Amino acid sequence: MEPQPLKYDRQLRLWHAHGQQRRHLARICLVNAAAVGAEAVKNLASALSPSSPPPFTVVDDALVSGAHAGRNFFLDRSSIGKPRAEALAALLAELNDEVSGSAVVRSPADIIASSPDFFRQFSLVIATELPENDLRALARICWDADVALVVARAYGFTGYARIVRREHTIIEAHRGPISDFRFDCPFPALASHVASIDHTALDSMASSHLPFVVILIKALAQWRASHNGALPANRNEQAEFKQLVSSFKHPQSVDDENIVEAVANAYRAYTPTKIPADVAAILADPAADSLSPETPDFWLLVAALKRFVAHEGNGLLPVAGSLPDMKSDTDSFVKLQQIYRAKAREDTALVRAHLDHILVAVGRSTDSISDELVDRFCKNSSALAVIRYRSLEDEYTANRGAQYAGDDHSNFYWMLRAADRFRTLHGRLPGTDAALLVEDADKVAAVVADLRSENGLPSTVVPDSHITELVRAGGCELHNIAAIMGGIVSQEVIKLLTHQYVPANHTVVFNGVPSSSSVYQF
Amino acid sequence: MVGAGGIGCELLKNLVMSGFGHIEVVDLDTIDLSNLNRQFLFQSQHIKKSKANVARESALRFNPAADVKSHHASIFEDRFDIGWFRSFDVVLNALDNVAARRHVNMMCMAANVPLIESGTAGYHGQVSIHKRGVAACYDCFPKPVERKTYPVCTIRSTPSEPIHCIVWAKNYLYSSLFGNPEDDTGEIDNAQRSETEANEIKELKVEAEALKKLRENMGHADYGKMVFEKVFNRDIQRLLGMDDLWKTHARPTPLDFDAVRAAMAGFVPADPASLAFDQTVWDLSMTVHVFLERLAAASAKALSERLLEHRKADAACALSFDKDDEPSLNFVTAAANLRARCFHIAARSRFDVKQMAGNIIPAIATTNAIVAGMIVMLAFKVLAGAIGACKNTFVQYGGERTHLLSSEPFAPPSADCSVCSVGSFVLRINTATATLRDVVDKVVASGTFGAGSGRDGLGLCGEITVQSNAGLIHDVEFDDNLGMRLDELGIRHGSKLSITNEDDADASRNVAVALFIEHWDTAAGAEFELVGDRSIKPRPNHTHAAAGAHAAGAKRPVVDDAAADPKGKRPRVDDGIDAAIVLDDDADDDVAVL
Ligand SMILES: [Zn+2]
Repeated sequence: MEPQPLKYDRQLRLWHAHGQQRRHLARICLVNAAAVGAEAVKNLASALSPSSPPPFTVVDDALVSGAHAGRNFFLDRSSIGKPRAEALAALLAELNDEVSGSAVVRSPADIIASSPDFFRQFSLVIATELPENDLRALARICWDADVALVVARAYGFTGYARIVRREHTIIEAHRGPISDFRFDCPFPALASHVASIDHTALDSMASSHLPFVVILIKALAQWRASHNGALPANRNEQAEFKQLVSSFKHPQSVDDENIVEAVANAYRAYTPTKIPADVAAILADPAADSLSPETPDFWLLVAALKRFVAHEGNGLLPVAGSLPDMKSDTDSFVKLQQIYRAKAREDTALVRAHLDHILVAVGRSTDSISDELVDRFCKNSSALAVIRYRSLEDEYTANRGAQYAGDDHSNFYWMLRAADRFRTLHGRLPGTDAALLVEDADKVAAVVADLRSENGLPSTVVPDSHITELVRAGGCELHNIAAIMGGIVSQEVIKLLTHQYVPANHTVVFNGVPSSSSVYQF
Repeated sequence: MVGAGGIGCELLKNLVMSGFGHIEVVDLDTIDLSNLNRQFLFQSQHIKKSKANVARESALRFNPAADVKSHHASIFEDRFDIGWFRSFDVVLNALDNVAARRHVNMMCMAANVPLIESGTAGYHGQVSIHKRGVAACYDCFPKPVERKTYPVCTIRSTPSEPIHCIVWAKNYLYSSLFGNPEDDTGEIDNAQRSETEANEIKELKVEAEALKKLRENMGHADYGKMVFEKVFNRDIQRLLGMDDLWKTHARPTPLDFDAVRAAMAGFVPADPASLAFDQTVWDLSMTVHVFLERLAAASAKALSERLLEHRKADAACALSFDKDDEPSLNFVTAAANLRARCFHIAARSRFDVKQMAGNIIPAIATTNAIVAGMIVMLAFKVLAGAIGACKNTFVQYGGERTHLLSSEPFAPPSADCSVCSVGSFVLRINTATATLRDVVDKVVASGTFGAGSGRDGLGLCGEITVQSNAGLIHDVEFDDNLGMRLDELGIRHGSKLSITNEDDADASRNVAVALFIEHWDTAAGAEFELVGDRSIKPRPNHTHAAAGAHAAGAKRPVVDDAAADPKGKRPRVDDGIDAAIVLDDDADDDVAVL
């Protein structure tokens, strides 16, 4: 069944059709229907299309209480006493009649302990309200099964989200416009086109319509001819180069917008064209060397790109082929655009040829990767991204928090860890016994100190006000904090599912008091 | 709460769930299909119903104890007067257009009520606090709205990109055929022109006149064919006759109506409800089909019928382009693509056209959810009396940035803001008995400047100028209206009068004052009461026109300069369709005829 075009209109605009399709394949499991999880799933449900089997599975054995209904928008008074999983699944279905949610009324701890394979059926698991031991066990299951895990939490005025995934690859990072002009190394068709234009013979009108790209290629060639082939290297030379660029203005011309554009882009001309460091790292990644029929498409494409770079590309990526709008007459612009596009097509075809060889070598059919994907991959090759998240186990056994010494927001992470430890030690969360608030605060402070020293981190003084606030919350979810964290979590989940945009790596801590967040790699 | 759309639904839920006592929600819109997936309080059975009313009902289901009042109404209506705004502790904007944002801002500043403003665009969002005398208002600083401008001649004679054709279809053809006929007679700039340009402009005028004439045939069975032959054949032929144009541009090819129709024999149109209809580029037959059948027969006809219908009610009525209106969008897509064909430009899918024509900034559920939550965080602070602790909050792209959310202190109000730095008063007066002379003499001129209260006048000296919503109604050279009653001048409850004085003796007493009229039915004659802070700041020398949304000279931006674009630069949140493409009507080398 096709998604309805109108209803998903705005999603399509942002994620494009292929991103939307990827999400249709998603199967999401929510462990515990706390408000933060329900909010996240609500945001996702209102943007997801039907797939079979149902995209949402809610695992929770809790029965709805009055307190739950008070902070979870999806649970009303009539659901009190019913299983929370069923109430949420039913309400999600009501929200979007094409989305069906299924409920598993069983203790998450029980499933984690006795049927770990249950989680293999999902592409992504969102976990909330799990005690530390269960959470670590679930994280190990997901890690081994290569299922993405997002841990979400709303605790008083504090929010927390942690993304865990072995490897996340992104073709469309949407970091900003890609500019690929090759000023310093024009390919033959571009070089001969530029050489064929005699700018000194143009009248003032034609001169003022000369595209800045042509001006810069000409100017740079002139510069290099008089500087032993070197690019403008220092501040003085760069200023001199800009003067040279300005001299392209026709003496009778009153309109110098193209010269202004050329000067503004001059820095691009003297910045050597090269492969960005993070893309070079991806090309050097061993994952692109050991190829098999199971190798993900992304790495097969990287392998093909690598061969292109080593051979026809002469150490450079394929030409991106897109030009920004610029001051120019139509003919000049269209001609220039055609030259860049033709080169991009040529380069893409070469990458495609390498890819076909690779596909045959690993025993896959050449049409198992579409031209459209190769095209997109080549166009975005200068912005590819790979994130290898830290496992939760590594974080818990070899914490890297030392790098955040003195960072106030990171205290909230340690306080949440301390609350979990407190729960393990005392069988309840801090602040849940009104008579013991002061004692609990002291204990939390002590646990923070213990946790830090166990992880080999220098001790730190967490402000009393933070601890008091945490204890006062008594582990309670505030609806509004849950809504904000639900928004953040669903946003990151969409990035993970669509492989578009760059998700946070790896822990988001939100502090509701100043309404700000920080991202950490503990 | 103003607005019950994407952010509004989330916001209302958060307010209700966070125990806010008394909430009123205003929204003029009704629910449509494309709202459903982001606006979760609405379901398919609610289509065509009031957003405000349905949002209220849905929210009450989850917290029956909440006190929520809904208004299915425009926030511009008189009933939402200063008194109404003043009855709230805080006003929350969840709007999608600049005009309403500016209006609410003006009312909140006049009523001295804190305003929390919000907006989202894709993964970006922002929430800000505004308060008279404390935090900059929405209009304190000009917005760096990036506008793309196109020379008129490029649009009308020498298009070279799909966007040029889309702008032509939307701003010229659509508005000529369906818009207000008065709109498209622009000012002709008579500055020195080359002969080519002068000729071209003359021809364009003729062309526009002919199109207006053609419009009289609206409703005729062959109307579609007439429009087709005029704009895709005769007008193109005419352009071809101007040899000078084609020295630097490729010559266009006119479309032959009969040949095109003949080629359509046996053609089966795509299903308009399919994804393909929206997302793939239509071939020529499909494009012509949409233009003629669906447009001449459906859209142009439907539009014509709607236009005729509207005309019955209001003679000056015109349809304005609405990207969410299917017939309008189909018409613009087909017309743009037919023109693109004439000029050898690539055609675009309806999906692309909608984005370009509507300049839609996608809004998504996740960002709305975050922003709505941030609004409530600020509202908590405002209600706790800690407005000074409020910070403007930004939701950012994320990715390599270290912060997804960040905040910065609000700016103080701008001293020369024409919205929040002018004196603001509620003038309670009987508009059926008081005259303009009463206002000028008793309310404005009598009394002591900077002192007095209630029934004392403002004590402004010198030459008094009065403007109403309709324009200038009084100044030293134009005193014809003095004897007229306020209601005769169209000044009613909810109207705003802008007063300035020019006092030769003391420049520091030259001020600008806004009087918000509250009709006082039981007041006798010229009896009045003025409510507001009497200490009025002097008017700055240059009052920057807050209404000047059409910033002149906004040229096409130069290609992005990465050197001037530091990482972590704050994302700018545009204001949706109001930041749309504008035609460059004062470019040096071109002239406005649109
Ligand atoms: Zn202001």
